[in-house]
Amino acid sequence: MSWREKSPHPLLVPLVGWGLVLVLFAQQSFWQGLLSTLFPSARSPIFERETLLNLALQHLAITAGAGALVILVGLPLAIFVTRPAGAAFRPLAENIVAVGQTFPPVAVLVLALPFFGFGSAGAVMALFLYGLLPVVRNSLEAFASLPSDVLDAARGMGYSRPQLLWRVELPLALPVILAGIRTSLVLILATATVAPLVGGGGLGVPIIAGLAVSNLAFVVQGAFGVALLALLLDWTLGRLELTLTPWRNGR
Amino acid sequence: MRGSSPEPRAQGKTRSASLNPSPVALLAAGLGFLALLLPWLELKPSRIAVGESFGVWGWPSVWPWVLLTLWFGIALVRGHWRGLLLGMTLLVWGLLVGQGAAALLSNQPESARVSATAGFWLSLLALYVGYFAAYCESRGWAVLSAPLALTVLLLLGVFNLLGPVLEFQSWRNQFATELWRHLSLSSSAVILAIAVGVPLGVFAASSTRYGWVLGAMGFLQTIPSLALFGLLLPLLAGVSQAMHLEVALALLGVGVFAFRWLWALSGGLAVLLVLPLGLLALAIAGVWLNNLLGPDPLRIALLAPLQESGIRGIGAAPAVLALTLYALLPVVLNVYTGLRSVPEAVKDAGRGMGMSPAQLFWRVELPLALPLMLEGIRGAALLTIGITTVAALIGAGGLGYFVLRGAEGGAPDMVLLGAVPIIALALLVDLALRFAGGLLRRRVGT
Repeated sequence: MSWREKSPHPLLVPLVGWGLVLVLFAQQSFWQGLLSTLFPSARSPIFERETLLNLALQHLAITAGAGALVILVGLPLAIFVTRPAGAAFRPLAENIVAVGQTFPPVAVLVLALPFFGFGSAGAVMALFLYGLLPVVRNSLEAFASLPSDVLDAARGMGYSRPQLLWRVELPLALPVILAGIRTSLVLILATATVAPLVGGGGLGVPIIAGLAVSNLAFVVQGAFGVALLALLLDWTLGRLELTLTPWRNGR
Repeated sequence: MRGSSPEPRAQGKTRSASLNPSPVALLAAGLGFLALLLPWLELKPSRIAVGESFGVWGWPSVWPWVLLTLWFGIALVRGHWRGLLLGMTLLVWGLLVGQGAAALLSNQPESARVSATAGFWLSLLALYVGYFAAYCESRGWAVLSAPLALTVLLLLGVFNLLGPVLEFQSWRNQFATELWRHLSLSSSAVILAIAVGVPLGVFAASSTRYGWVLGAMGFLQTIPSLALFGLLLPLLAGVSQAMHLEVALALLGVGVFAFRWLWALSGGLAVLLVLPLGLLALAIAGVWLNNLLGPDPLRIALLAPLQESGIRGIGAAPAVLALTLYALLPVVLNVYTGLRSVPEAVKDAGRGMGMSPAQLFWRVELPLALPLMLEGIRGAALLTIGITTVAALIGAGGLGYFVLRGAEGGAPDMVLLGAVPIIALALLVDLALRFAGGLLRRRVGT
């Protein structure tokens, strides 16, 4: 445990990373120069309707909105169906989660169009529906695989049901739940790339515009930005898992 | 007559249990009631125009009342009766939709379209939930009533007036081609992922030092699909114009020998060499395999740039390459886990019987890891079928063509024409590979 006292907070490095990436996105003229060297034949090397930084921020806003909804709805849902009151719905929830996995993300996004309308709000709702699956699946698994002797011991110590949930079940299930949230958030960020198809913003805008007018410079700036954000998000959430479950570090 | 014997007992149970109905069936009935309040069908003057929504109570028919009664029945009864009532509900639902579509279209011009809206989809969900409740309660003959009802509806052609079916009729030939393309793109990617992923997984499992292979696969998986497509586009475009086919093949041949020599010298250098060459090999193999399996002709042009052989910046080359890279993670991960989870005692027993390491691998480890490997292939296939939808954006075709054209043109019926077959395809492949996995498990005895 000694590293915890000595080294800086484990989330400090990812935070600095996010800062650096946003500063990098803000260098519009640098990107302009780089892209015009890489793609000398492109008529306009950089997407001009919106700055790269704004596109990245839009992308993150859509991801954050859908992600917050996923956590706020998915976790309580999983907790409900693993309680005695909701136990009857558990096979149904497991079944729907399993079947939902086979739906292609783009189709979910586009099919949600008539229900939630055109624009970023519709994209957020569709991404929320799609991102719900990993969180519910992992949380169900987490609550189902808790060691029964630990639960028995807690009950024997006189824990009430809410106490059992808060002090024993949730902490023990946390690693698997967090892994589900990480999968879900990365999936949402990735799928948000096709949000422009339903009128949403984000880094998918230059990609899809670039594909439409065969301007590879547009495609590359969007693709590079999304890939960078996805890898950074995945890494940050991995660090967050370590911070929130320090007892799993083993040292 | 055998089927009717459990009925009296089921009825006897009904009386004692009717005070405590199944919550899932109640949920289904609740969704069914809610659906009856919403608009079911939308009438549009043309396929892309804004339409007017109609509920079920608008047209003079007894079917909405029958449906209401049936949902009450589903909430109250138990056992086989629920399955039977559900089949009837499905039948009435289909007849109601067919009747409604016919009524709406009766005095309309040729271009008018009827599309399904919220109430239609919600009642479909309610039927699914109800079917699930019935299926959990009794696995007897009663659960057959729903598939039977669906078959009757399809034979009667009640959905023939709905938008997606009309779209299908006007795009029939293109639909067949795009379906074929979808299948050839995803199957070439899965075949290549198996060909590359199984050896990689065996390699990764062979020593704890090779854990980085899994890390690299995870890294690839994290990159969003559209971004990977986008990053591959300029790379492949450049290579395909600059490099001749014979040069590429010669490079690959030399690369194989250079790799063996370099691997003995330094693993890191060898990997650096194999990465670009491996990607090139995958791109060429992917395009050729796809053309072999798919509707597009296979072309091999020696002494000409790669683009003459079909390897271009847009189209099948970046699509199959990216799809293969995505499908690698589930395959490699499951081969790795499968080989690692073979119990040490079993391996010891094999060694004790005098098996050589090769015999041990082929006769003990591989058969025991096979069910998990098949699970990985199932994951890879599902993932690939879904992501192939995006491949239409980079000109590779597939059913995503309809999804994207529908989304661009604001025609939801066309989106459905692409999306419904993709979902059906994924469910079918899922079912088939699960079934195969079950058979395999029984043979291996795990």
